Amino acid sequence: MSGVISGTRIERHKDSTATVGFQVFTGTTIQMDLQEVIDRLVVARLDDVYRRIEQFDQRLTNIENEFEELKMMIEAGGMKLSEERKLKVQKDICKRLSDLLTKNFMNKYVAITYDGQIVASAETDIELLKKLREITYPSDQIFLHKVGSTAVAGWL
Amino acid sequence: MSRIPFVQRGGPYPFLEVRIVVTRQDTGRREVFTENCKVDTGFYADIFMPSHYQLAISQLGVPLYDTPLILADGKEVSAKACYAHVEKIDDHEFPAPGIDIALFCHGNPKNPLLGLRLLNKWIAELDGPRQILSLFSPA
Repeated sequence: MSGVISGTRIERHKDSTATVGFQVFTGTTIQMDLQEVIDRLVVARLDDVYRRIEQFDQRLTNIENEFEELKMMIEAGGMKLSEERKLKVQKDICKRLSDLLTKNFMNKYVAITYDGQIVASAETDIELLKKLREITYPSDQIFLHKVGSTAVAGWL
Repeated sequence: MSRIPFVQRGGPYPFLEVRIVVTRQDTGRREVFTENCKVDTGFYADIFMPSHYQLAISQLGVPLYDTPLILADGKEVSAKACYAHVEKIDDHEFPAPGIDIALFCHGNPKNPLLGLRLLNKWIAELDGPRQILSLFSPA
């Protein structure tokens, strides 16, 4: 049996199955117990594997940290953007429907879908929310509006 | 005022402990929030809560709707609103199902707020020197 490991030629000694001879570059042959060789090789290989795992683990941790930071940045910016966008879309829809709303729903609270349909109306926001419980339309596709006012509630 | 208040609350002032209940109509499942709400007479609505409460409400399956709201600094925001009830203020429990309210969630205020519209259901006395907030039933 013979083979090359890291530039060192390993040969099994022909008189013994338990020892091997190392013919290193200098030409010197070192007799070693086979088990010892295996142990040394395994330990060397395992150390190498552990070192590589540690390096990989560190790199993964760094990537995870960078990913979390990026995610937080996107979420913070995204939330602000989506809220601003929603308000803009709501205003655009109300502007488009302004004639109809002022004519039929002045000072009332209305629920409007983001594609411009009026799905419910009421005298108060509480009544409107109560009515909406009967309507099977995705809630994230509906916004509330008080006709003749910029906001439904708040520090007015 | 000679009448007896149904709620009389000392420090922290002006806060009231409010039991707010959101109920899913089809299943009857409820989410109960017992919160120390700061009385804010500038807020013209019922109850205002931080936006993280939305998660529990959504998980319950109760719909939340986008609602334009004006904050104290005049900024216009898109908050979330849902139908809810106030069952109890401090030790006073209201007859079932409680008081109908619109519950608004947005941002991250330090405390949930109890607004003027809800407070206007009663006669409120803010005794500043004694730091006592009392609620009386209207005559």
